[in-house]
Amino acid sequence: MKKSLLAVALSFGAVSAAHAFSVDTTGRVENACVFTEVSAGDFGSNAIDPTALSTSHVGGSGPVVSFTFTGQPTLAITGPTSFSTAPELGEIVPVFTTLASTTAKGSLTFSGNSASTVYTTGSGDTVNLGLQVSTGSETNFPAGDYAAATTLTCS
Amino acid sequence: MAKSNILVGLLCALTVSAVGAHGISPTRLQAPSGSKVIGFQFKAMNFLSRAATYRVECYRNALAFPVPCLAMPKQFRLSANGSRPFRVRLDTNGKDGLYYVCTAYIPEPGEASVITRTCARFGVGVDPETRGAEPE
Repeated sequence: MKKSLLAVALSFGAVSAAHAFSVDTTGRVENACVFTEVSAGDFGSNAIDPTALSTSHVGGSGPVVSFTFTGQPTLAITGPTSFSTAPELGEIVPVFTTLASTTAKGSLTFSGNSASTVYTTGSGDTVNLGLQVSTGSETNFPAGDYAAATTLTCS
Repeated sequence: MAKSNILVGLLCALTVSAVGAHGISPTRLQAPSGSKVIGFQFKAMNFLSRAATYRVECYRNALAFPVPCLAMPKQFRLSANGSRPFRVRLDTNGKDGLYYVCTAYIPEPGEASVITRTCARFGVGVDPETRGAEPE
């Protein structure tokens, strides 16, 4: 009887000593991008087609943008719809076509002048851009300096 | 003619530079459906080793649709590897949707014609992550 009481007492003691503790480990993952390097592009010589400007023409190169990221961000590319710098174009209404491919995603599909892709794996990528502009007619581009801006947005 | 066309094609020289290295925090925010005004104090970060200028821009549902917003300051220059807070207040007119608050790098004169933007998503009545889902 004495032993039983002792056993019961010990078991109570054991129960009261067996408190459970929950310790949280918390953290936060930000969807964030850092554009690390941007190489501007050049239109090549349009001697081969005076009605077109293209980064794929001889001597040209497309912009290259590298970035790193955390989380699962969305990268959106918006191509230009007008020149930021151009001589007087008269009746020319230039038609812009933006191209993009990335190391991780391959070729991106544009809807209109924009394309987007969501990153769920990896931590960085490089985007190779291309730009073609046509006069949309038989009229040649007039001489002068031309520039058009492509926008990359990470959100 | 060919000469002038070649001149046309020869544009500014290729420049390689670490432009647009910047960020915004936080990147995800949420407000209840029907909120007429949303606002927050964000932090803009410049990861460049030189000073750079940034402009605050706001959009709704898609980056093609800019919306007016009150940003204080609207444009600012950050020192090398610097950061600063900025406040944004946006009148939604009661329209739910996904709002973007962005900092856009403003290229220095003669710099690359690539504009980089980093944006925070502010969901009003929608999940900023999945968009369209009801907020918790």
